[in-house]
Amino acid sequence: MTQLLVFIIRRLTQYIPMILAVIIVTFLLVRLAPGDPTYILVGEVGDESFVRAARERLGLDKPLYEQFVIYISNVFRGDLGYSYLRSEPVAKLIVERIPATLLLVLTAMFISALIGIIVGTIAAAKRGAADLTLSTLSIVGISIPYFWLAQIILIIFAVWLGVFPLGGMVSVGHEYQGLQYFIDVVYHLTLPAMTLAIFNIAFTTKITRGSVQEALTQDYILTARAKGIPESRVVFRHALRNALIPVVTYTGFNTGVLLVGAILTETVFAWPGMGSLLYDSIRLRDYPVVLGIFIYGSIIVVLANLLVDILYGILDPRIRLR
Amino acid sequence: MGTFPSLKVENVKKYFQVGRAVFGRGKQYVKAVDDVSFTLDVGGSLGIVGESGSGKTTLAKVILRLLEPTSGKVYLDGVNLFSLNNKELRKLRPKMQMIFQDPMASLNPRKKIMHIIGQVFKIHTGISDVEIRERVIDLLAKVGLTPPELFLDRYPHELSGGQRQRVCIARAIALNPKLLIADEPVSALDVSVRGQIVKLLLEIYEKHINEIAYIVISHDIALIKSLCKDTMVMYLGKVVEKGEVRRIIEEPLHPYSQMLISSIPVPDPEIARNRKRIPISGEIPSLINPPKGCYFHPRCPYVMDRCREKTPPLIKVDDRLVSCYLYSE
Amino acid sequence: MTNMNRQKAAYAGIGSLKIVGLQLLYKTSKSFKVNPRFTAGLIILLVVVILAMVAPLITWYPPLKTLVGKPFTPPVALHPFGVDDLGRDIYTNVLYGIRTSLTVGASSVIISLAIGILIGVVAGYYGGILEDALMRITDMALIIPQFLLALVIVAIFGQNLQNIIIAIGIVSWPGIARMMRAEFLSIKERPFIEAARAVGLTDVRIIFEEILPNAIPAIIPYAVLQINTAILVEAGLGFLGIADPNVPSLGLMLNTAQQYLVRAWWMAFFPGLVLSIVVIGLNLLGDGLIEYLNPRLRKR
Repeated sequence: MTQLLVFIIRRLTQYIPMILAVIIVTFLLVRLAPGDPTYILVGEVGDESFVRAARERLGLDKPLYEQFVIYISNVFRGDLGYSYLRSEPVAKLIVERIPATLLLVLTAMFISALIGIIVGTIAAAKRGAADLTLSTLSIVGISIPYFWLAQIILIIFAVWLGVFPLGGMVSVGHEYQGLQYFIDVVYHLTLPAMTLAIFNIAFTTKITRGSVQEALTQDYILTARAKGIPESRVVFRHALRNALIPVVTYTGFNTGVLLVGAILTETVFAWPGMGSLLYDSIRLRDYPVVLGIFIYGSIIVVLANLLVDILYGILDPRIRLR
Repeated sequence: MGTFPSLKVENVKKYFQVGRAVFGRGKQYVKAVDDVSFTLDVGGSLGIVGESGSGKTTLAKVILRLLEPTSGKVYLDGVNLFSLNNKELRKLRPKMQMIFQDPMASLNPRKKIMHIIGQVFKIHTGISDVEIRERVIDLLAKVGLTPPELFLDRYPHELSGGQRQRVCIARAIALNPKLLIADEPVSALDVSVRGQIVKLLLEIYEKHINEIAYIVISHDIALIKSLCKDTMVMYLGKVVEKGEVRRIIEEPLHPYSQMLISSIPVPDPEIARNRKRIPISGEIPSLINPPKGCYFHPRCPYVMDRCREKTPPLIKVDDRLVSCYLYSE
Repeated sequence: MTNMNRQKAAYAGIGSLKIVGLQLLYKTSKSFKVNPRFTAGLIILLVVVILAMVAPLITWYPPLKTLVGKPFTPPVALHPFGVDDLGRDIYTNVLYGIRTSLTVGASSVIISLAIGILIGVVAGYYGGILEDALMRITDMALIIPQFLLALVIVAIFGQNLQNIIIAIGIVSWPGIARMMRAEFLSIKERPFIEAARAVGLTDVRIIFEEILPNAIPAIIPYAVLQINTAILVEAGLGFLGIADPNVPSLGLMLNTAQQYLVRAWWMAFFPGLVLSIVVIGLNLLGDGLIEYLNPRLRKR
């Protein structure tokens, strides 16, 4: 038990500096940029006197290290600044978007893991011709820029075929409740989640295939076969269990990539998450929000990695010694 | 010949730290070389024998200071190698060379032979490229790679095992070293080629007998016999017996030497039948936790109580040095 | 030259071209059998690069110029890829956009290689606390979303091509550093390095003459894949609207297309298609290189 505790503490000490690094980097970037940092943080609103007042309020006239202390304490209190453009605190704007993004990312993770495991296992069991097609497909899969893929999918399925909605999370104009609401959301969720998942599926399939193949060569599989257990059960029950760990951990560690993918996908489907917030903010030059998303996004990714790392340590005792 | 012996090794120890200092456990060490001393004169040839794990290769690397020692001193012609700084050490390098175990692995696969050998001259002498080429050709001829010009532009993977080893030898003797260490010079080679390389090594040794001190490391005592006059038997980092090879083979004193000798195939069936067969028993214990007292006592057929207590000192018995309580009082 | 001679010359020219062409075809198919991915990738890439280079020759409108055609025209002969919302010819901009992508890709990789190799080499060779510290930093940098960081950098420092290249170069170094360190660690242990030290080479010489040349086979495919990533990042940034407005960019075109997906599918389809082809080609090339260089290493 203590070994696990030591491990967790070790991991925590490794990851917390990362969060600090993100904050420091953001802080430095704003201050290092050419021109007056005030404009970046405030935007292009207002006249001379307003800018001067804002500068004072933001403490930009104070010495650097004082600013830094203020900044850090702000971030840890959850205060990421104020969006003058939208007249709302940045943190509030971001936080209300997080659930939507999480919904998208988790769904996509789940789908890609599921499909990846199934297809990968089958591919490992069957071998042969499936292999070449699979590897070619996976190369294609990771090459195609997914925001473009999203657009194409949107065009085909929503515009031409009209099967799925054009975007958003809920149908406009209807105030669904309960089950209808749920179905409505799922209806809107399908295309974006599928698109996001496709990219990851290539990887999960490859990994599953690899680890299942390796597991299949183990002796205990031969024993199972010798016992007369039907092949499908051999594959799915026995070999699969070992294959799960790498897939789960891989998907977890890939959170960063998935998050970025989600951001881009949201933009295409007008899914109301952090991604479309980012897109709008860039368009409107609302930089405090952009910075805020960077910080929060990075923190989410770091935390996700930390979580998966710890989970991995729980599942596989060998890792704890590292 | 100077007034000092060519090579003097004094109480050399090399410990590797293993694992972390965790609560209650303290640091652990692998005692690869545990207090070894010997001297070698110009013209002398010493073989170091032992199973894998006995520390012989580590000792060689420490002598050449390719590994930093944990303690001890090594004098080459009176100069303490361990007190030199990097620059001085590097200048001295051509005088002490080593032929490594795996000829393929000790040659840079992406460089031509000309470059590999020529590099030595380029670094340590100021001679022109044209002259370097001449010298490399000379060297190649000396080690039996003829016609030498043909080999200049080849890559290591284009040569046979024996040829590669010859290249390694050429590189080692390029600047007339005072100390030459050969680590398992033939074990990576085909049996059919071994004889040639052994012959080559002997040739070089005899030609330079007035300038060179020569160490051969091997687990094969028969090989040592054909190449060296004296030998040192090592076990778990310690020297257990030292003396003339011929004599040690005839009459091994230390029980471990007896074990090693009895495993040599002997051509004469009479002698083979009649000699005392001591089967090699047990395995080498872990280097992290060597046995208390004499390292060899768990495998020794003559073990006594005092063997388990303290390590026997290396004492002179007849014409050699032995570390065993059988011969001391 | 008389007419007769001119004809002869023409025939001779065509004839020799035929021979060269056949030879090329033969070599290609042989190479394809041995290493399909590498060959396919190489061909795709060559085609793309050639197209990008001769862009001025095969397009008939200046890039970025608005109103060269009626806005929202679907693909027709004069505008093979259609016309966008501001009347720009998509075909022209796509071809010039390839140039931008390739430029950004290659330039930023040079930057990240420089940083990454330096850090990886120092960490891998000298080991100890230095290595630990450097590797910690590298690991941290790896987890932080590189795309977002690049985005922030360009947004703050100004949206021009230079900044984009620098930003992408800066955020991409960790992957290379880690790979270099791994390579160095493994090569460092090989006996010929010890032999080099025994011969008396200085550390610096060992790094450059002995280890690096042996590390190159590992670097090259990685660099190719890194170019790929850089291209995708640039496109992604462009898609979000972060791009140099004075330079044709495939990503930016997709950004514009986003608003008109319903009306003008060609605005999104062609730029993205070409982008995908480039990326696939690079991926195949990189993968093929990895395969190609690995068995060779094993043989040695």
